[in-house]
Amino acid sequence: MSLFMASMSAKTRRASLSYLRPHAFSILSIAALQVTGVVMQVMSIGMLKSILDKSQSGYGNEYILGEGLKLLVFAIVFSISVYLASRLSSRVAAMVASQIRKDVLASALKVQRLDSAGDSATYTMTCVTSDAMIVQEHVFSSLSIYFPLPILAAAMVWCTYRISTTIGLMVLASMAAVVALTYVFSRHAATFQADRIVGQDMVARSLREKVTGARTIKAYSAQEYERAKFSGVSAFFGEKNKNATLSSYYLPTFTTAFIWIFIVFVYMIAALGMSQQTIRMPHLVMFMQFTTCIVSSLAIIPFICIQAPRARASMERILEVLKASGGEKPKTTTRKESGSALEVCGASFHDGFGRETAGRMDIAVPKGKVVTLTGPIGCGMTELIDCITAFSAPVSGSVAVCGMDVASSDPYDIRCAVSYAGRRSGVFSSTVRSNLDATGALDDARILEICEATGFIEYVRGLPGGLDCILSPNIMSGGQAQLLALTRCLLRDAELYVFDDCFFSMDAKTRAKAVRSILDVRSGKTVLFASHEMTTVGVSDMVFLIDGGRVVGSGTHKELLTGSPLYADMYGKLTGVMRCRGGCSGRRRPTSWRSIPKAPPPRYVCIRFWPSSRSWRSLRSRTSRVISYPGLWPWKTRASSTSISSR
Amino acid sequence: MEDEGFIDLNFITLTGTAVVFIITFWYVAATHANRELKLLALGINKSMREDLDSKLMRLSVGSLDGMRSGDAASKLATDLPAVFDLFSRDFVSYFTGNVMMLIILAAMVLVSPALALVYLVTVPATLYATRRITKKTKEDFRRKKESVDTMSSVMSDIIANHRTIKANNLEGAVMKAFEDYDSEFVRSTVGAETRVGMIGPLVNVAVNLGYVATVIAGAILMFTGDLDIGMFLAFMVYVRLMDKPLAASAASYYLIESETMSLKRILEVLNAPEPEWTEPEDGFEPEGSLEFDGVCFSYDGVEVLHSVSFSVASGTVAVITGPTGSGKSTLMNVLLRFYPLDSGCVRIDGKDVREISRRDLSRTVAAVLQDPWVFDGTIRDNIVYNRDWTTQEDLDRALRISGFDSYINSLPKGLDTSIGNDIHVMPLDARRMLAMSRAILGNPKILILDEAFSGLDPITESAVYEGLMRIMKGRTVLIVSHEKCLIDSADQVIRIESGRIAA
Repeated sequence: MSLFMASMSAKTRRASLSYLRPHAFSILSIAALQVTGVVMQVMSIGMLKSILDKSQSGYGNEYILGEGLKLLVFAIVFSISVYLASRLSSRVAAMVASQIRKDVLASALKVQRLDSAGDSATYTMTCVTSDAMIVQEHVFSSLSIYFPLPILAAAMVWCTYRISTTIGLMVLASMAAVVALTYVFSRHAATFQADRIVGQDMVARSLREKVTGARTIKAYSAQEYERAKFSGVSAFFGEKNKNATLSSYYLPTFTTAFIWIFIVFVYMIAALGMSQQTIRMPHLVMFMQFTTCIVSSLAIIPFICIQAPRARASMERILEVLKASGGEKPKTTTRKESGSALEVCGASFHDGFGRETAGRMDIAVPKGKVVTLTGPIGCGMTELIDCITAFSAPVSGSVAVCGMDVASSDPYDIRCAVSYAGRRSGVFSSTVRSNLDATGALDDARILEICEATGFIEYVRGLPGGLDCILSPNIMSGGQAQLLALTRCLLRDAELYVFDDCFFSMDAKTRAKAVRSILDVRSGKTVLFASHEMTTVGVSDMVFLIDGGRVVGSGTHKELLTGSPLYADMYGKLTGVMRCRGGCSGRRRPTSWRSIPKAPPPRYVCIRFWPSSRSWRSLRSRTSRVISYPGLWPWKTRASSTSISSR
Repeated sequence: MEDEGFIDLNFITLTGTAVVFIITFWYVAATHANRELKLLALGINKSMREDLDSKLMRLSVGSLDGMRSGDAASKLATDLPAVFDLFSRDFVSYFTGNVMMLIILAAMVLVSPALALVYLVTVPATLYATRRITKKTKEDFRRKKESVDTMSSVMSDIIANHRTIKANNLEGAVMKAFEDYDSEFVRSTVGAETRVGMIGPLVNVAVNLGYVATVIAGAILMFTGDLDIGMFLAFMVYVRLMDKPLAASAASYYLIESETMSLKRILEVLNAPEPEWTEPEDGFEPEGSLEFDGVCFSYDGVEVLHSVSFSVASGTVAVITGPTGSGKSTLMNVLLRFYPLDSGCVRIDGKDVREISRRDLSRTVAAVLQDPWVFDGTIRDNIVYNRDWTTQEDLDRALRISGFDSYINSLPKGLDTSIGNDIHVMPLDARRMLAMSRAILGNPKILILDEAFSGLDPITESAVYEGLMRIMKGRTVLIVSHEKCLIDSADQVIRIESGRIAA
């Protein structure tokens, strides 16, 4: 433990201590129990001397048995204290790990945009549970196994010192040497361990790519290419792993050999002492007991040497994640009365690569209007939507949502006023109900009413268990997921509803119904559609055409059609100029375009995963599985989650 | 040792030197053995991860889709080091610990059979007790590992939906739910650890009982004169030495349990059934006509394509349309041989796709799928992919046609910009264009566009469409879409409803 602490940087140490501090009382109790254990151990060795003395000086059997009884008591007290200590350590370790997980989650949730936290941080967050596990195991074994070692060592040194000053000092010196060696090694090994973790992450990412990219790899028959790519990664990791491994393997045997040689020397000295009558036989017996005790404890050193640097690396990685979210100051929202739901003044934005958009944007959306933003790809619309939903702030100029300035307001307040459905639809692995209404504030009647309006009800009706069915991103088609996101957005009570390009996977009829439902349900609230596809321009009170980061045209759809050549071009291409092109000979008109029948009930699989089934089974099965964790997502589980194997 | 006063100094020096030599020899031997062991484990680790990698590529698309949930691949990567530890350290230390115990026991019997008998009385009791606990802990470990997995799935679910959570102000709700779940998790781990923690103390009690019994018996034997003190001393040293392997095996037991669990999981993947497949001969040069003949396909026992039959002549543009979830994308997956069919077949130029080698198929058919896959690397790597014979002109042409060139030109590093799957800097439309460039770079005879145009603005869309039609002249294009304009401009429209061809 102390070694683990000592080998860390000051910052890591401070953070680690801050995790242990709330458990100071438990740790003190553990310390007390461990000290009791050590005292019992020392005393039981001490008993040996008296028994030997007595047996040699001719006391009776009864006396020996009496002493034996005492010895038994010592042994039992020792075991009980060790057991209690390990129980307490286990609790402390689990609490520490739990705190770490909560902190990581809290910091992940504090970050406004995960992509801005950096690639590695995003990845690490997914690994954080295993990191926390490593730390937990280390804290546990530190407190329960490593912790008594120094106490035991001190007791042993003291005992030998009492028997013979010279030998005691020599034992002390050798112990110091071993500790110093371990410390130096631990520091040395940490760098290798850090490298190893980098390599390990690379391997993990590569393996993950094989799963996510399965279709592409097969379609391009790129197995050889991928294999070559992986062997590079594999070689890198192998190198790092080899370094880390070979930097450590000799140490445990070395320390043990060192201690044994030392003990032989000590025995020689003791034998000399006996020949000079300075050391008596029972002393030698005890002395041998003490030294073998020390050697036994050293058996644990290899475990410390390997576990400590790894735990250290894990801890540092966790702190890295925690750090990524730091530095965001809480903002106080000042809200001005304003007639506009959205006011953009001379704003420019950063795009995904950190470049500033070219133009300055000015938009004013009066309350209660239905507005569409449109423009060619890369026009700056996505960046503007990021600002409206408080995921970023403008580089220059200002964006105000419902009278709140985005740059200076608390994102929480802005998001209370804005309900947003984005192109990443966000399907949680939980029930339909909690997917739609995560806070559990709405009753089923309202949820079903909105589902009915948007048309999502058809999907829900096809699910066994209806609203209680557990969803998974893998089993929903793109259009269904978009409809889910749209319904979720409409269920929230907000002042501004933003639909960011969230219709493109829907078929025409579904889309028309969804758009209609938005206009019906909004009850006078402002609606903002942002889409490259121009599918909502017809129903909007106002359309803003954006290009190159500035508004190049605004007005109603009709006005823009006549007023803006770019707009007319875009719209013209949309509505059928394309049908005159094609350039393919032998073109045939499509067969009759009949009304679209009712959507078929969707197929899906829901398998209850926890706590009753085995995780690795999923690797074997061909089915897509849904991991359900009762109590996580269904914030108010009204009925127990349904488990269905197939419909 | 009646004559305590007389000890031969030479004898002491001699013995001492001998012991030092023995220890040095042991050190050299043990270190060498250890090194060999580590190298062996490194080798196993290397071949294991490379096997895993190639196995993942051989598995069917269906089973890989199953692995997506809960990020099973990342878990595998954390299992690898655990298995490395198992081979490089714990397995052997467990083994040597047990051998050491046996040797010490033998030495005890040699020194004093009577005392050894007394000491051994406690052993069966210890063994019985540990067995009982072990059985329980196995279950504990399984459950703990499972909780860890679920925990990380929860975490990845949160990470994946981060934006949705933020946008809906759900941080508090998520946090609260997570805490509830976490406390459940803590309870289960503490249970497991406490039980494992019991093994150590239990062994300790047994060792101490043995110690007590030995001391008493030894004292009595010495009292009666049946045992001399030197023997007794040696015996007590052996008793103490027993602690070491016992402690080591208790410590490694804990690790071995969870490491075996990891090993099991890796083997599970390595032994997963692969689709039975003998790769046909290369050398197929099709024109590009397509025929679906009575294609039935079921997904998890539910039939989703019911005897779908249609054909597309080479050189035509066909649009496959139909309501959401009707099986359009499944058709494309079947064509690319991602899933095995129940019955019927898909033919290209009259030849069953199952009789066409993967290599030929990939040259013939290129697809832009709904969720374009982008891997860690530069944009150039992503587009050229495994076709390193590509010339810069080919690349430029592909970029121009897919409309991706202006996007690339706006990047400061152009084609050499690093992108990755985890970095969300590249918007979906850009990833679509990337996938399209990748697809047309190979000059395929058949091009599949699975909703490849959705989300693009009309100008880009029509420019890309126009470019595609120009280069795909005389080739077959299959478009999955519900855009009316695309449907209108197609040579052929195939409507799928509930997995059937609609009139």
